[in-house]
Amino acid sequence: MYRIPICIGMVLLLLGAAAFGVSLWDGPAAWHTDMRTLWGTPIALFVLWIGLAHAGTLISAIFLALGFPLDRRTSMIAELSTLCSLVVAAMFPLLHLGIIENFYMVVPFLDARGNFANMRSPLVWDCCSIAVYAIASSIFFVTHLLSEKRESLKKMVRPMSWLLFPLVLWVHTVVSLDFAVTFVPEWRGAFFPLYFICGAIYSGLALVIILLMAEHCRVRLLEKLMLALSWVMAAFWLWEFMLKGTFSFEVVFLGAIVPQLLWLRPIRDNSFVIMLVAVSAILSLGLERYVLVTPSEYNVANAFGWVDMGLVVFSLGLFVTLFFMLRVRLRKPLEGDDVVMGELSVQDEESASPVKGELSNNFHLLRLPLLVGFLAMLLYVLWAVSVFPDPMTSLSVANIVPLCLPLLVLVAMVVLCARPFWLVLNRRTKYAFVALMGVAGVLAGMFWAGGSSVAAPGAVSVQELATFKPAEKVWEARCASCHGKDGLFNEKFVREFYPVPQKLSLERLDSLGTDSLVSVIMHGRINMNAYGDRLTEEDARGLVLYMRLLAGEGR
Amino acid sequence: MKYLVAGFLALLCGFFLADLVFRQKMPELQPMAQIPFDHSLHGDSIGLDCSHCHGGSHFQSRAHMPSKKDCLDCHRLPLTEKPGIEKLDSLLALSGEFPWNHKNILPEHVVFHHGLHYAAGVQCSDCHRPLDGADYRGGLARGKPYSMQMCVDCHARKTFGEKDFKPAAVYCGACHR
Amino acid sequence: MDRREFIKACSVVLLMQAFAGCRRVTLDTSSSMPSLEDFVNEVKMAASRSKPGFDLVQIPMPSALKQSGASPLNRFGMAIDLDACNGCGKCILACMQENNIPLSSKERRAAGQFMHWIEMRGGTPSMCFHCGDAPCEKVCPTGAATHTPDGLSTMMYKRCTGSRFCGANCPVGARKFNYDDAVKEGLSRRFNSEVPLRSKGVMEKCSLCLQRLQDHKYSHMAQFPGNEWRGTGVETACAGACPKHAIIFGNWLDPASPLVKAAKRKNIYAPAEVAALDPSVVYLRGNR
Repeated sequence: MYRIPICIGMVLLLLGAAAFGVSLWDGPAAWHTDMRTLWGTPIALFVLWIGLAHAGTLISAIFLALGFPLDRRTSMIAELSTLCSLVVAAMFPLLHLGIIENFYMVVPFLDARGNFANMRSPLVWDCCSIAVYAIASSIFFVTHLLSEKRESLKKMVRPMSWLLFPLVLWVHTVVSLDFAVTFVPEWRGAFFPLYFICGAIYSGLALVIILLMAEHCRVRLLEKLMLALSWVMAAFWLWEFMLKGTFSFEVVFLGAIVPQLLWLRPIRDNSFVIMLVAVSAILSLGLERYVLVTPSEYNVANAFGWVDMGLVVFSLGLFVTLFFMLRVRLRKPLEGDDVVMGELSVQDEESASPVKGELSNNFHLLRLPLLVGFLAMLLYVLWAVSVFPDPMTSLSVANIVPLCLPLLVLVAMVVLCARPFWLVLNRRTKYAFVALMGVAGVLAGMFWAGGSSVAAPGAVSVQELATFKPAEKVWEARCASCHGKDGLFNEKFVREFYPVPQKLSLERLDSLGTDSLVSVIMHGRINMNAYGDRLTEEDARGLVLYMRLLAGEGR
Repeated sequence: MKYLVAGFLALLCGFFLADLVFRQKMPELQPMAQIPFDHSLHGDSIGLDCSHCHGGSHFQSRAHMPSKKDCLDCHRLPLTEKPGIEKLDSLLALSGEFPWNHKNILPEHVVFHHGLHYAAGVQCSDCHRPLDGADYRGGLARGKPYSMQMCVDCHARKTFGEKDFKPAAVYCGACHR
Repeated sequence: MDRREFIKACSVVLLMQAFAGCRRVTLDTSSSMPSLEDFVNEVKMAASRSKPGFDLVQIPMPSALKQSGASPLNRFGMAIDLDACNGCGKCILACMQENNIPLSSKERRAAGQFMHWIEMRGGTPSMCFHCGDAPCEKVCPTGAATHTPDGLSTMMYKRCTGSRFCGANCPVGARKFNYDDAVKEGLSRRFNSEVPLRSKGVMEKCSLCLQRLQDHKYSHMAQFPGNEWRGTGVETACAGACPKHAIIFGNWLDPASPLVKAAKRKNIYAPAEVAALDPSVVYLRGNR
């Protein structure tokens, strides 16, 4: 079962591994970049895969939340594809970084040095939203997986889907902001969030359709939805063309024209062609992301090196391998007892989702978690606004707003499922929980400590001001140990060890004259040391002037 | 319940363990040069200021270590009757031009100016005071290694509350380059 | 072969391939120090490939920064006198020597990606404009790009994670990314011991010779505690190296500064891309 997809995935993974290794080692120099393209392929792949990751939660959570009829196995497949896509998607922003081990600096918490991530940056919102999305969809998946046999978890699925519904839209809005807030002309536009969300759902649907094909099953509802979305995407491309006067033929052809084949009945009935249509939709979106991230290079073929191609292949191989291996592994809980696939019949639908009846019940379940989540969010906002040490980079509340929803959802989700989960866990998973907490503690500690800085190997010279050697300081450093800071001897030292020096008075200074005093300082006399090798004559003259000052003050 | 407590403990232990491992490391303490030296004999007890030996400490960015000449300013004559002084004098006579050398403890992207801090009223001993009974050693402030946290806390007026220092710069560009 | 063995075999091959990918780069590393002549040649090469110039628009004289916490006394900036500049490129070389800027690798040179903080655009030097309302600083996720109260847009290299978001958001492309490990590949030379070398994977850009300002400021404050510091007498490496005195460094808020004196006589321009972002570095052209 699924041996062929796993083999294909492995082969792709193997082919891509070299490109991945080079990118990891070589850093951003490995893939194609140029004067205007600072990001390149990994970010394009990231946006594509995070888009593909939306299908599962969309189909499962949103359909569930809205009461659409979909059987369990289809939703589980979709959710599993979300998790695998998220794993793939999460690798690329890390790979993209110049210094990968510094990734933790993006997390908006204080460290021991008082450093704080810049919460004005969409990248911080991005990182947090996606992390929360990954955690939330894993919890959702596990709950869904275990809910077959356990009534206490079954109750949780619906309220959870309501929490995920806004989050899934939020995540891609935030991803689109990475582009929309910049100065690159090709990336500007207020339509970006909607555009990205629709593109994400479109490609995600196509992915789920393909994966369902592997199960030998088709869901008409999803195919219809895909067709509808191809029109929405066409509208966006038209919009963009009218705004900026550019469009890519391949993208529009593959994404908007090919799917129209579904209008023809013979084609609609052929599953293989449907699969090809879905592939073309994903390809179109992939190309579109690449063109977007590489603004200067419209000719994709020229820019694409072997590393870029290898990264694409790697991502594909990783996804396929991961997905089908998990699929095989989770065969029993995934498929459950029922063998039916696809849409439920009308009668099932009515019995399965009495929407109004469950609404109040679900609402009761959600009340406390939402309250706790809201409080946590409020506390975080207050803390983040107050904690900033430097007024030049102080935050406004608007900068934190994008983090509010993910935080609320995360806390609410944990509060919601903590108790029922705890009751379900067995001894082994509880040990795993303890271990997990330990690992979390270690990670937090590493983040907090922030590493040790290394002392400079050589001497770091610092330019002193050229004119800078005030007589007062020289006196304190060179003379005060015997002659005293105020010119009245340092009693503790002089009386004990050395003969008492001459008293400092204006008359004496005048009688000796500046030149002879300078010569004494430079060459020494009886008990007075010679300083000629450590002071310049100019310094010495300054000292004599300072002595006059001290003698005057002494009066 | 006990698993919850264990999980919480694991979290705390993990955190502090990692903090201990990854925090600012103790700098390599160098042995004093061959010449034995005791700060307490050369400091306030004979009315000498730090700047007499560490010439730049009050007005330059670096405090500097004394050269042999600086030592001989006073040690030309036998200064005490205590036994061992001849040995000291002979060691001093044998040593090179710079008996003490200083190793950086600051990373190269950090700027620190001794004179600036002195001018702002910070005493040498505020940062360089050793633990009770111990002698001054490079790289340790009150027995702890210097860390950025130490600087930032004082700059933001969180420590040294008893002294009336002015609040100092906390933006990155003030001390880093 | 059953499935388990097959997967095991595949994993081994996968690991070996990833390592093979890694090794390719480690083999060809040499570390020799480039000569000054290499730097001179690269500057010549870069100057000969001058990028298209800016659309300049007239702007008023820069005034104090609008952010809270900004210094009311100092805002450092620079003016490039287009009437005096003849595009000789000496400023680029001086900048490289002052700030230890490495040479670019062969592939980067071919793509026109030089590490130079100063570039020739339409025959005149251009560098970071140190915008008061800097877009790069807003998108830096880690807070490595920050503004000082004195009006410098600074980079804290140890805090940089190399996300290159700032580079994507700079309207004039003044930020340079360290694609290569310049020290390892023998492209770097430490002319100035005061400025640390940047590691591979961080963004860098013109700092308006931050180190000179820092040194001067601290010495001044140690010498004259309580006295205001206005940066009188400091100049950047490029300003010092310009044979025509076309680059003028100074303090926009100090009427005695040479910068303000020069700017008062002439019309002030900035590239259209950054004109609305309150730039600290401007162009001067035509007597007023």
